[in-house]
Amino acid sequence: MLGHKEYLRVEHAGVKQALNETLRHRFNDRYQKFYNECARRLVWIENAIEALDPDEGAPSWISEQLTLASELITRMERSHLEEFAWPFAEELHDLARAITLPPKPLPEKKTPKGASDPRTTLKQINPPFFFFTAEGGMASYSVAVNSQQFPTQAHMDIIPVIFPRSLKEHVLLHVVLAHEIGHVAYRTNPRGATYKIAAHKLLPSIPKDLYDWCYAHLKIAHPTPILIAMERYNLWAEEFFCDLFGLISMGPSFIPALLALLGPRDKTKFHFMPTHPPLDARISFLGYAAEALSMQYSKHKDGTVKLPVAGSLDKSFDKRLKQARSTPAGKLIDKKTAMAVTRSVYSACSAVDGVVFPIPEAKLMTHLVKQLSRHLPPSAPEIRYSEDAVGYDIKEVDFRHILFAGWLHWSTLKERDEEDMRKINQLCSKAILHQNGISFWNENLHAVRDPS
Amino acid sequence: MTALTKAELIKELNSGKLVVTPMIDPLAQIGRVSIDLRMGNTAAMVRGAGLSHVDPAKYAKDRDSGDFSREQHRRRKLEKLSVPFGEPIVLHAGTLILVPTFEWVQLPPHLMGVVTARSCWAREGLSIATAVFIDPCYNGIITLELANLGQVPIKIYPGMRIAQIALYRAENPQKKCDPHCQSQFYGSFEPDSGDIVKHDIDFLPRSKKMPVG
Repeated sequence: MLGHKEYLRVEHAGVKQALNETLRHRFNDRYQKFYNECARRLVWIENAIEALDPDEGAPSWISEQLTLASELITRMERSHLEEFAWPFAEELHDLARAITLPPKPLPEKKTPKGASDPRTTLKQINPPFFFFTAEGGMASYSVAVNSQQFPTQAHMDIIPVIFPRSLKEHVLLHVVLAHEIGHVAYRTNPRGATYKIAAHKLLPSIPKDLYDWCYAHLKIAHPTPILIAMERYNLWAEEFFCDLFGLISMGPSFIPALLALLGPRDKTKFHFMPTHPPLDARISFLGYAAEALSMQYSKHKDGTVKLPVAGSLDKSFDKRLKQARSTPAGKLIDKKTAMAVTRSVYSACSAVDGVVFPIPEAKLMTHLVKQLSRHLPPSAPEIRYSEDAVGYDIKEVDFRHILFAGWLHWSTLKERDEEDMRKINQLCSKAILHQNGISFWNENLHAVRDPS
Repeated sequence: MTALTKAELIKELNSGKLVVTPMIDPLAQIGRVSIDLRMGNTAAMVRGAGLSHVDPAKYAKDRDSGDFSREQHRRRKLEKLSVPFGEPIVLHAGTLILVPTFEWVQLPPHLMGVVTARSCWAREGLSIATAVFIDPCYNGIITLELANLGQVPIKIYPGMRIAQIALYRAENPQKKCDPHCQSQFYGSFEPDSGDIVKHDIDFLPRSKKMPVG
């Protein structure tokens, strides 16, 4: 018979071997942090296993920790750059990192000897480690933020960000990952508390007894309520916040991306029951938020883009918005509340550099859309070349403006099919890669000119 | 056939008819009669282990078979690696790697391109293109066929200027580009293997018996 201590030793050795096997693959230069963190956790788990009395049972957290490590390592093995749009992932990484960095650099300090929970101190200093991977399924967009709930001597959280393998180059849809990054922002120190205060202004609008409300208004009774009403009540506020975070950080592109992914699966008008608010409620809320942020846009017949303008996001969204607001779910959050919450969250997000979608100049957007209509990647602002030039200022285009241009172009194509969608995505993906190159070059250029 | 000079290249670029984008350092890239091109971020390498030789007949057979054979042949032939900026790929002596240009190139109907190695790299043994002509109206990345003709392995980094394109005026050009009449690599986003038997299938052995005697 294999005793529990022996079994845990076997499992531990297997996980350790799997970690070492990952070294066969090529990952980005941040990988070493992941390896060191996993190795550190495995040493801690090994010590815990060795301390076990073979005649007594093992606490469940040991096997839970091994399972977590095994899952993370297996996901990392699938984290090849070839399996997802890595230039987009780099941009998302910067966004996720920005919101999880401490407001001011904390001084380096060692764990005090005998401290009961060293994690508290260490994890405050070390922001989470994000890595990107691809999994099957149209709905696999997610951030595994819940996987860090076990007690451990972790020096930092490890958070996998998951892309759907089948939508590899569909960067216009990847915009919805900002909703998932919103969960990280909401649940992670140091700024989570601020976001919660802002989002909790929505709580009075959310029915206290969701179970009864859903039955009365949506004719849906969940047979086995997984969560108690109060939990759902808070979760809905979090989901509204995450939609808002998506809109604030990614700009108007967030709305068509979210609708594209949720629309086909909204048979019950209560997608992701019971943890998410009904889609009509989300659409109505986003409509008010876009209005508060002046993020409506339009593309004129002459091809120019004016920003911001008072008008509709686009005609199909206008129609969907009207439909949503005619339902009980669409009336849950009133305009006044939605706009007040939007302003609070926007103000909190503005405190972090690089998080808020920068409103682009209309001239830039017109140029980018024109590039797409000529089957060119929307890579650069218009440049006038000259024989006498002594230098050119090659500016990066914010990746969110590229995605915005992609959605603008798509929304105005008269005859369109999935091939058009694929090509626009590929062109936008290429343009984001180009920005990666421009950024790399600019940073190196400045480093050479100013070595200090 | 004369190559466009710097002034003419700039005129074509400013008119928007010729596109080379993004040009990160135009001062360095626009030369007297050519525009330098940088290496992109994908490397497609032939998988030597699974391939004994290139046989057009086998190629044609697989092409005409069902999805499985055709796709298997295509997918197994090349191994594609993403190479971020700052990371090298090593080109060993005698090996071939397909890489895209970093820049996206669009040619108008009246211009054709000729791609060659920059001479400083050629002197290190790096050959960058054997199929050097780019048709008028081409739109996409340009695939560079990197081969190391020297004895010493060469490290190359994405973003380096390794190639150059010279532009020539085509006589009696089409008035505008016909989207239905494009080359097989038109609109490429990354390097891929080509169709070596296109229009040549009649010269390949068939499965039927050949006449004897």
